[in-house]
Amino acid sequence: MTNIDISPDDLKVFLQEAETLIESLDEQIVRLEQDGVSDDLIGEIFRVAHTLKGSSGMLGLEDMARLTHAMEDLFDRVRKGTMGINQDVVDVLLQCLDGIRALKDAITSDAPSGVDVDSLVEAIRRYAEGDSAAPSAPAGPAPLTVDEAASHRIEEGVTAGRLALSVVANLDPESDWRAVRCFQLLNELDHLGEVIVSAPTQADIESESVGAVFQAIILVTPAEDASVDTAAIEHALGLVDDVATVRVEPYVAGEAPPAPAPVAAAPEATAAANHPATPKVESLQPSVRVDIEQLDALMNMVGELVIDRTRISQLSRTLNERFEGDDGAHALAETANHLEKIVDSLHARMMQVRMLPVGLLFSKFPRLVRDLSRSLDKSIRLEMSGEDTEIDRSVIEQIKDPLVHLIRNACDHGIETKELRATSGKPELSILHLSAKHEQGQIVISLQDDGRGVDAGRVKAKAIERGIITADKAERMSLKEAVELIFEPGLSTASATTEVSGRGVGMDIVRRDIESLGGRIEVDTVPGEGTVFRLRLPLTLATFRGLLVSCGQTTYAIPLTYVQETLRPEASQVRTISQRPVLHLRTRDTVMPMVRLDDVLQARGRAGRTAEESPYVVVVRASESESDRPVALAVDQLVGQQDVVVKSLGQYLGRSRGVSGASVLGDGQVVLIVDVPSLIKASRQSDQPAAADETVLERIAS
Amino acid sequence: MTEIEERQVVVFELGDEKYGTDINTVREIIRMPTVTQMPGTPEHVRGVINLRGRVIPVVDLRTRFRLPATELTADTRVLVVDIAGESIGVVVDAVTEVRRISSGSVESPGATATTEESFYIEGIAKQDEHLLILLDLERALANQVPAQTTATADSAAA
Repeated sequence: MTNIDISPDDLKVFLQEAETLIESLDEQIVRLEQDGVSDDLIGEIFRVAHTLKGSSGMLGLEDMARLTHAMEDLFDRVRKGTMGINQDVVDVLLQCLDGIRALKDAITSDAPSGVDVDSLVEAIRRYAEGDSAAPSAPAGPAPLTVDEAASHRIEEGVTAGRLALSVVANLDPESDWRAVRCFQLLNELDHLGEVIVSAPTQADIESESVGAVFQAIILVTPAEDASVDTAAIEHALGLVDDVATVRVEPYVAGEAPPAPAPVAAAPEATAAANHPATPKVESLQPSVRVDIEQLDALMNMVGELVIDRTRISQLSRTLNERFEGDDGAHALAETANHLEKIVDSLHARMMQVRMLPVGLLFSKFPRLVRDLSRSLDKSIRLEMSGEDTEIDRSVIEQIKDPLVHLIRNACDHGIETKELRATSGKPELSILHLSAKHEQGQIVISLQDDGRGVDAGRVKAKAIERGIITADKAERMSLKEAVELIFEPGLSTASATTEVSGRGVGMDIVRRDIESLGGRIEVDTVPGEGTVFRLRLPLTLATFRGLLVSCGQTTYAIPLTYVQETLRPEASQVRTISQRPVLHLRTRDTVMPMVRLDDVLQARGRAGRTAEESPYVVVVRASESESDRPVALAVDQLVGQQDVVVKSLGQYLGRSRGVSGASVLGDGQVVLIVDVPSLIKASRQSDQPAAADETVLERIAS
Repeated sequence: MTEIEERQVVVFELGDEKYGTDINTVREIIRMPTVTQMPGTPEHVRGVINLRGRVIPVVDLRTRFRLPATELTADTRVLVVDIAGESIGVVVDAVTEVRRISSGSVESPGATATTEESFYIEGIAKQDEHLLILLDLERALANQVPAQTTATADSAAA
């Protein structure tokens, strides 16, 4: 393990920054390969690599700094046009980047990274041709020069009672980190006083034009005894690694600086002198970093405020009814009103703060697609749009795995091999399009490929073979229904499992993940032309609009997105098929199974009412898709609609079938949130054999 | 302070027995609130409660220890304990006191205890006339519960 002599807070800042820098390098390197070398792009890459090298070097993360240093060298050559970029170079660069990522992860996990830094650095060096001269020993810096502007500032400072000091530090000439050390020295001096000139200048340091001597002239506000100042500064600078000697003494105007004599004024020196060094690592976004845990804690508190707000409004109404015309009650009502407004806007703002552009997630995919197309020997280009679309952070986290799976699947199975594309007259390059947009209060993420499409016939055959559907049922399936069979557990159309898509995790897991978020997945395919998967996701997981119903003593919240309709069924609408109650909706001409909500949930202490005896039903459906049939949930009472704040049930209770979480109502009552898709599955399983039943249902309906 | 190792335990009653659990595991002691039943959970999970806006599970220690169920009384209390970073409510018949116990007065449960009990009984403390059973609540609740949850879910699915 690397020994890191740094405060936990600083380390945290570094890790966050490194994460951003690594992600951005990842994306840019892939772009470099795709779009070719442009001045802007390579300049940007160089800058990012440089920043990463600087901050890792400063923290003493030598391995990481060495790797970034090697990469930076290579980028520098590309920038200067002395070498080009090809797939192999990009491969090595990406390997190095993975190495850096592993090194970074090793810091937090406290486990060895297992990264062979030497061989990675060696690999890079091989590509950077003409490597005879050590790349880390560039031309010496311009010597320290005190031009007119600088002397003027020194004079002004001295007149104002400040002290001008001349600083000379000798660095270990063998050190690879001289530029970083100079940067540190400059940074240190900047804290101690005002840096008037330095050699190397800030610009020199950035371009690595650094020798073994660091010189500067600074202005400090003197203490009683000038010797204390010089000693303190010598001490502070001496703490920087690789600094051999430091000498600080009063600067006398006109006297030559006490080290290698100045020859000519480098233009940069003047520029740097006019702008006191600001050696702060440039931040990538003009924003404040906030710990995610802090944000979650805030969100939780705001959630509780929302509940209390509702409660106070209710109490205020009750009191105002009881003490009509009472001043106190009236004042309470006004305050409650105001509180309601404030809490609502606080809640809305808080939700906004949690929103992140989906591009943060998307930016990981170009690399994924590149690696996939390399290993599958296909030529695939990922195009993206709508990266600015904002989604709740928690949703972003949870759609990553499903999206990765869909992309792998598209590259592996959706898109044909080069040969096959050639024979079907398609261009060799296939386009994978990933997009995000807002649509009716939802986020829609689509992934479209121009591959072979889903072969409905094969899917059906497989489903029959696996016993998922009967041959009879397959006959009567629409194309859309057949295609949607790919989401059934145990069905994978790929005849051979490959390294890329692997076995085990399938589309059923993808669907389950998306549904557990309260989202939906749809698929559209045109044989020979391609497939598009669409994920419809809620904007946030923290709240949703729910229908409150009660069954026995318990109140449940059903997310409105699943509710098709609610009704009070007449006796003639409720019938029995094979001793099971069904609801016949004449208006829609459908027949569906009817179950008591508490029966399907297997709730304890049930009221003992049967479905037929229940006064109300809620017709729910897992999705709009044809294959998801509605189910009638019989309940005792419809309580009303309201915004529901989702509370986690924690790990202790395990995953309970049919319940996805809980919420607290204004009166403090706990309600359970109904997990409609899993509930429907549970109700179907108790309905076995489903295939036979559905046939009967369909016959009655038609 | 003193050289003799001493610890504080929360003493509570369950049937005729007195139990003690380390005070550091107990976050608070509350009266029995309204419980919302949770479907698909083991029998000893009474349900969930609202603890100042948080929803936490409540476990019945009587059922957990296979004691006959009794009516709730005015003495019934819920110990809110922290287990693996989660707050869990534990229903007990009554909470009587917080007591200091020196390590010298604690004996190991010995051979009389079954293997299951010895897993969560830390020891027996002799206190005046009666015995105080020292419980590791974390073990008493956390172990077995996940397994039982799965078992119940499976039987529900069957």
